[in-house]
Amino acid sequence: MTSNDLLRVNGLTVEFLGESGWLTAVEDVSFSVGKKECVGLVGESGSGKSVTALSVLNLHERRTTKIHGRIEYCGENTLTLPANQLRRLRGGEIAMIFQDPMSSLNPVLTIADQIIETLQLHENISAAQARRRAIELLEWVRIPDAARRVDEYPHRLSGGMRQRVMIAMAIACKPKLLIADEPTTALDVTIQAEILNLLRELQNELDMSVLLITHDLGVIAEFVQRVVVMYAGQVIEEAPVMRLFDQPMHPYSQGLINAIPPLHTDVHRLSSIPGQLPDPYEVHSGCRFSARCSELVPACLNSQPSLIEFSNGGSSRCPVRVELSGLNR
Amino acid sequence: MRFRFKPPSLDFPLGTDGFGRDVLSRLLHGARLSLGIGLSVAVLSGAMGTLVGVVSGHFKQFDSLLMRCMDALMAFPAIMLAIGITAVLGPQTASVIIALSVAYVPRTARIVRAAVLVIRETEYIQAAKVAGASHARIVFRHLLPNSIGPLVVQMSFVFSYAILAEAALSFLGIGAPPPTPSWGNIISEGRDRSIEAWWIMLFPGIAISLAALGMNLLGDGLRDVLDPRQKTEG
Repeated sequence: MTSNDLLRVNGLTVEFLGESGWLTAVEDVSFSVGKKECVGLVGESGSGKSVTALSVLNLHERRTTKIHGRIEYCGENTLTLPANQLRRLRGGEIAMIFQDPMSSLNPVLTIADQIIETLQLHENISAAQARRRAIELLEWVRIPDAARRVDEYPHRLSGGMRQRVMIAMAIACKPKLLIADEPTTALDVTIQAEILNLLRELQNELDMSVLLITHDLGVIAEFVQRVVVMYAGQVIEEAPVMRLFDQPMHPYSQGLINAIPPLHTDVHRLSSIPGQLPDPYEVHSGCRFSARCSELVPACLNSQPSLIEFSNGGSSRCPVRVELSGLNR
Repeated sequence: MRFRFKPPSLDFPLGTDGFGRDVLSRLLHGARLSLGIGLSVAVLSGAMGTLVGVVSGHFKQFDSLLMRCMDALMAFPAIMLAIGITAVLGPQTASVIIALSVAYVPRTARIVRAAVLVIRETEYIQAAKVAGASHARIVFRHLLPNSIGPLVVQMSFVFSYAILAEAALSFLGIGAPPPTPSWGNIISEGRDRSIEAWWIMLFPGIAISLAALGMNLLGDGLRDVLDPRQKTEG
């Protein structure tokens, strides 16, 4: 961690009130996002990626959530910030886009209304100015015929167009950090590529940092510099993107990479990781991945491995692989 | 007094009552009161129900308290509750409106709450929070406009219930006081001579049925128009 960090998550633990008591969704998660850096947060459904992202903006229901740890944005802990300062941060400094563009826009308001709303929440500008800005924003995210489109209702736009509108709203106030929670998952592959290109361009133009949450390693390979892999609520590996693909330091990361279908050879069965995520109510004595791991040694079942940090950056929670690789700690 | 209890004729199309008053005129004049009460009750209970529904749906900490109060109100049949409240407030038009509005608040509140509970979990509410919107903005810009559909449908049904309930209250003698005509108290006054002077009760009865039926059909129609599943995606 350096002073160049924009966002610093430190020892984040999130517990939810479930039907049979408190359950831990995220445990002791730490990572950072540097200025102008793109960091990927990877893991399967239920691994705690989105919970972590929502914690950054403190969006959890207070009565049914316990949060421990610190989330520092520019030195301020967003978890203890008063509501009015939090609102200034949300949408102003930190913006977020969601997975499903079909339900992320309010169906009873026009595109113009929704973008103008975001603008007026954070900037002191007139309705006419805000409207002009809204059209500019739509042109910026390459919506054709923006001046006409701006007065349409969301149901008249396609999924890709709606995601562009969401992006336009997100960048309306030139945020420093964009949290993208599976921004391309609900879109066609061709549209995915366009949206990713658009995000990358905007990132360069605005000097934004991006925290990209996804389970698609293809997206990760294209977009980010550093990857944080999560499993069952824990960070199990952190690595520069190239190293993750060349030399994954955790069997789970290896499994995710193996699951990418090869492009130039025929496969009859796609590779998968057997088993499923452990029950969050379960108490773990050993490694959380042990039930599904192909490289299991008896020691894995005895104690929960802690995160091993490498001297040249990155970390892993698998002592077996670290031992084999001979990487410097 | 020579026009007392005249059956329907060319001079008096719907006949006359025991005071020799033209039933048609009273029926038309009574529409003002009956429909007025129906409308006022629909609007008042709609407003109160929306307030309760939005508060309990959006601000979870008030949910159990408010909903248990609504359950308590709902435990009484609407008419019983209305009779009780009018008995306390005295027989006048205003107390009928207040009584019926209170009686129909719980249903509206539940419907609005249910709509709010669904909408508050959608991503556009999340997106609005992320954009830095305050509670007030989320409620007035996002929650209310999206729950207006079921609310309007419910209000049209309350309208028809209220017309019926007002007639029932007037019939029992605790509605709008005579001589001001309402459909209910025209029927009530015709009750004693219902066999010989059938027209006094029949025509306001038909008016009530038609008005209630009309509002129900309107409600059904609105439900079809406002149901998002029926909307065609463009």
